[in-house]
Amino acid sequence: MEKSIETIWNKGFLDSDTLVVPKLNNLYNKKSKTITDKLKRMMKINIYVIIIFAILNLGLYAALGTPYAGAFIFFLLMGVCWKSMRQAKTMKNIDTSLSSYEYLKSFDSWLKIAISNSTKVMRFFYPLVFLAALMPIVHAMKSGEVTNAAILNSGFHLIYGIPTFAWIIAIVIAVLMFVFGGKIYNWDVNLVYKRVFIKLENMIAEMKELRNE
Amino acid sequence: MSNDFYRLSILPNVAIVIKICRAYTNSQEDFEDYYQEVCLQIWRSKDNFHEQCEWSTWVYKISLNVCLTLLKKKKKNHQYFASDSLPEESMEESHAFADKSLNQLYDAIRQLSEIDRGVILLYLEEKSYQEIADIIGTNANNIGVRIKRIKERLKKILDGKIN
Repeated sequence: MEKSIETIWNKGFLDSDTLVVPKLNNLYNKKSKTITDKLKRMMKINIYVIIIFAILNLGLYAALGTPYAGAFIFFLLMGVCWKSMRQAKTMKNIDTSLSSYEYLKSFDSWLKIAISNSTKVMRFFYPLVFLAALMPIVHAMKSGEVTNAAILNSGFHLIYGIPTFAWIIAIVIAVLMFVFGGKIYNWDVNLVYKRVFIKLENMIAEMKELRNE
Repeated sequence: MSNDFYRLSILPNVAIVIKICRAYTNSQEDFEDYYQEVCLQIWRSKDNFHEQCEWSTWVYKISLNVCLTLLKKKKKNHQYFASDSLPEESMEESHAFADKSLNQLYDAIRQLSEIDRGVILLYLEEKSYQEIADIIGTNANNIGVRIKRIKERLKKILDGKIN
């Protein structure tokens, strides 16, 4: 006789051994691995994006008639990539034999140190890139007959064919970029990684709570 | 999660969690992951439970929500977008339970859409139409028709397999 699904269900679960309860161990093992792997992957992609951008930028600046400025930015970006890769190598020092909680805590500490180190470098990076990025504008103004004549006839004091006050404004902005470099870098990093950072923080906080209960 | 919470609040309802997790997973590894995530989510949401329903109903709700979310994530990761069927690997016969017919029934249930799986599990757990509607978040009027349709589909899938 054909069984109904209700009969199969009830009969199947009659035996108490049918339901084997899984052990609740290593609750966060997979999650920790997932989040750290995701961050590592994102960092790797970020480096690739910077390299591609640096190469494209080199061509763009050459086309705009300022290849030296393009090369300067290229080397600055390469420096940033090199620093990131060196930092990524130190990640291997994190002890993977630790518990998920300890591992995530170590990973978080490593991340904070890496960001702090990068902040120091980026404070110089932003103003230098800003000044180099102005070079195509300077070049265009100087090579354009109309703009060049307007500048020359303006009566302003000039340095390298550009009004001194324009240089001063650029330098003030560069100095501000140096001063606020840390904040700019944090904003820059958060733009890409904020969601993962929050997830990591929440996970550590939750694991801490679980351990304390 | 304290041992007390697990022992007093989850273990008495563990059958619910296992039955639901089994319906949404195709391997022991996935099942254990889903089970752990459901337990964790029950613990996380314990403060949101204000006796608006029975604790077991709360457990059903959370278990279903977690399984649906995890399945959605898994599908997204596999870039699998068909809603009413499963990847080929999941069509393999499972041996999660000692009872062969029960395994076959589970295989058939896994071929249903995500929501239909939830509906039929709740029906088999003898929940009222109103309770099913509350847990699933739909209108109770449609539940009866839906269950009839699901049962017909299951019968069709199981046709000739179960004696």
